[in-house]
Order: sequence, then structure tokens, then C-alpha cells
Amino acid sequence: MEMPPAQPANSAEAALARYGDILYRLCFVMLRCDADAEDAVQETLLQYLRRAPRFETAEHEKAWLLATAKNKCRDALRYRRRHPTLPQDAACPAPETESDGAVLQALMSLPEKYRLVLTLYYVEELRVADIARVIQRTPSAVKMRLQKGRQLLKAAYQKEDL
Amino acid sequence: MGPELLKHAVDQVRMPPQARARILQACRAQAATIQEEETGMKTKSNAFPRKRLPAVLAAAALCLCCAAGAFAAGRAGVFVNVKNWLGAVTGGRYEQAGQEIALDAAYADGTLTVTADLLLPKKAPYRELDTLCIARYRIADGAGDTVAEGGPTEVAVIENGAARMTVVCDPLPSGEYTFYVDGFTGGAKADAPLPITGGWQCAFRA
Repeated sequence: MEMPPAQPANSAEAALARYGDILYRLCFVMLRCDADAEDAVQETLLQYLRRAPRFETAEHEKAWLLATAKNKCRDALRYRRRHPTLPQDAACPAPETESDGAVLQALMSLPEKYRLVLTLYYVEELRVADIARVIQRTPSAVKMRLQKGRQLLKAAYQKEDL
Repeated sequence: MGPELLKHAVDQVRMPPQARARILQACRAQAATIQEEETGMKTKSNAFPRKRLPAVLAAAALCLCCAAGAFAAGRAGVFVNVKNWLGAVTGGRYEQAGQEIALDAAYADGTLTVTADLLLPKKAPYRELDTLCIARYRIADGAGDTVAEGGPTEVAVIENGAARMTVVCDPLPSGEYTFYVDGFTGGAKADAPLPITGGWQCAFRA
């Protein structure tokens, strides 16, 4: 069976146009730093270019990019833990957004695994099954994390609001 | 706090235009690098038969010549130093001389006359030798069983590039025999005996 031709290398530009903001939001929530988020998005798209994966659907492509971005963020977090330098707040000041900053701060104060599933579910509106594929866990584990994350977020938001 | 509030809050996070431009630039550079690598690989693979084949053939010919030379050198005799336990050279011997001496034997009345022809009489060490004797010999019958062995034999003078030695043995029943020699000892005036090792054999009839 003949394989379809590889995607052109400049399809990363199209991916950046389509998924750039989604990836950036995910990386920003995960890393809590705009410079690191930019690096993670860039690494994700460079890997997309190098691997030139073939996708059956757009959803498949989006899931691949989200999973890769998640892995890049975890790499960056691991690097941070092993190479502590400046305090996080000093190195990466909080971005200026027009939105309710307390909600964002509350979300970013949660542990990484809850931040990830909450962002994918409520912001990117992925289904539980798709999130399970991205984070390589079972759908029931995703549901558990969503439930626990909601509780933690509520508590953190109330604390921020006070 | 509802999900809408969370979504609205996070949705406001957008990639800055400068970051987007930097990422785009990096992607274009990476794409160019990948394209260059692919082009280079194609050129390399196409060029292989034209450029590499003569080189491979030349290398193969060189290896063949070296191997043939080494084989020929391996057949020639070599001098080897004999050292004591301190590593000091106390003498010498000549090895791998199997192709440099021809052996012939004739049996008559309990005496075996062995003729050793020096095939390279003008080459060292044969040009220096005055005498020769068999250091170790063995006689085997047609079945391969050893019927006599011994050594060294009497010393024979080398004349006209050949030495004729006599081996006295018990009378042999009629039949075909093979005479094996493991080594000779060469002698020269005012010089230490030179062991010459190798493997020789010749057939004779009793």
C-alpha cells in the first residue's frame, strides 16, 4: 500500500496559525511564564517539522500537538526543578490580561496535573476521551482530576478573591 | 465561579505578535535546514556509484597485493632471537624454512641416506653454513604408525648446496615409508649452531 506523501515542511506555519494560541495558552498555564511558554510552543512546532507526522484528521493533529506541547512543558518544569535559579515570580512576571486576573491566578496556583485537565476541558473544550489520549491516562482518571481540580480551583479562587 | 468565567479568563491569554514572529522565523530556518539535509542526502546517494566505485576497487586491489605479499612473506624463513628470562638475546634460530630445503631419502640395508638440498644457497643463513644435521626425525609406515624416531644425526658437510646425512635404523620390512623431519641444525665455523625449523617429509621404499 502506497503511503500518502509527507506533508510539506512549511505546514508548521499553518499549524502555528491554526493552533498557535491554543498551544500558547496551554503552555502558559502549565509553565506560568510567557517566555517559557513561547519556547515550549517553538519546540513543539520544531518537532512537528522534524517528525513530519501524518494525520488522518484535524482532531488527530490537534491532539498530537497538544500532547507534544504538554511533554515539552513537563520537560521545562523538570529542568526548572533540577536547575533552580531565580524565583518564579521574579523571572516571569504575570502577564497583563484584560480578564479576571484572580481566576487565572487561582488556576495557575493549582498543581500541574489539575491545571492541564481543567485547561483542556474548559478552555479548549476537549472531550474527556480526547484529554485521556493527550495525557495518556484513562477517561475515569481524567474525570477524577476534573472533579478534584474544580474543588481546588474553587478554594483557590475564594482565597484569591479574599 | 462557573466554567464560563474560567474560559473567559484563559481565553484572554494570547500569543504576543513578537513571539509569533520569532517562532515563525525559527520554523522557517528549521524547514530550510531539513530541506538542505534532504538535498544533501540525495546528492550523496546519487554520487556514490560514480565516485566511490573506483576508490573501492583501488582499495580492494591494494588489500589483495598486501595480502599476497604477506602470504609470500609468511612462506619465507625468518630469523628469530632467542632470549633468556631477563630478555637478553642469547642466540638465534631460523624458522619457517619448509620451502627452502628439499628432502630426499633412500633406504638400503638398515641405513637411510637422506639428502637435503638447499634451494636458496646464496641466501642467509644457507650461504654461511658449512655443515648440517637433522635435529629431529621420524619414520612412519604406510599406516602412519611411527616405526623409528630419533636425532640428531651425524653432521654432514654441505657440498654444492646439498648435505647428505646417514640415518642408521633397525631393518625395515618391505613397504612404503615416510620420513619426517622437524628441524635441522646448521653449523658454521666459529659460530654457534643455528636451529632451522620447519616441516619436511619424503617417501621412500624399503
